[in-house]
Amino acid sequence: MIQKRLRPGQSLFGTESATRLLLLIYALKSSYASQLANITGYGVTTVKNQILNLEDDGIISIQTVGRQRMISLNPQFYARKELDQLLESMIQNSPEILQSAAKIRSRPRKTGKEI
Amino acid sequence: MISTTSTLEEIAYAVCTLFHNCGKTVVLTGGSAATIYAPAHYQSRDLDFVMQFSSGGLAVVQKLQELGFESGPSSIYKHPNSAFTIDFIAGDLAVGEKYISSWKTLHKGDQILHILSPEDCICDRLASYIYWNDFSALSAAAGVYNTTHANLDDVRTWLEKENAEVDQTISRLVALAK
Repeated sequence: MIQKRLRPGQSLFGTESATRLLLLIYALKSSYASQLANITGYGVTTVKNQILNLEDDGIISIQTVGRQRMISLNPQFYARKELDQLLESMIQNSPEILQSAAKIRSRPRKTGKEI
Repeated sequence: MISTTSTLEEIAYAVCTLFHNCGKTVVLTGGSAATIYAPAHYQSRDLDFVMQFSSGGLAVVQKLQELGFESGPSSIYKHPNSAFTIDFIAGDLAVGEKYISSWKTLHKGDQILHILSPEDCICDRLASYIYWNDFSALSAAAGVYNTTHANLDDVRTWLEKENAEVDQTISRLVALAK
């Protein structure tokens, strides 16, 4: 999958893939590795490695729900408010992140309607 | 006549005109309304109508059979020649807490289509975004804004009443519409 490059600051969180994943996690509020891989086109292994790095840094947290490991920004990260502001600014300057998140339908669908 | 090549717009006009000719008003809402305004940005596969003053509505709904639609599960109507489905949403025409009392009426030849105004259509899509964090709905709203240049003051007012994150939502909408 060919992706548009992010605007300046694309490697702010180490690599472009780490930055892109963090922006998506922020936008989606909660996600999981295979969903992030599906949206970005990165391999699941790449996503999981980046997630581990971000978790080690204390930026994200992982919560097990059923059999799914749900990833979200760590609410206890000491600079969470400032991080939110930075990520929001980056997202609005990189609308392709919003566009890629639009691949996922999260609103409910009435029973009987085709997926 | 509904065929395999009928578009969502053609079906919407056919259904609305059929009801209009019976003295009933049905208003197109949901993602299908966004598709009418911004077909290049968003493609819905189901037509959501709200019937105004619905007493006797069931009898009229059976008129859909004249177009070849058959009743499926959950009052969803399917056509053997089309992938598009039709649904009649229960209740009043509303977007979030806001009741809609006026809408836009489009004309094509001798057919008509009652549809949410572009502003209400954007609010309707944003409702899915703010309630379920659905970015596909935000993208559809951006598409409608991009093609109609709707008045965002109305959208802002609606977002305030819904206690949404107004500035962030508007900024993301505009960023996506560029």
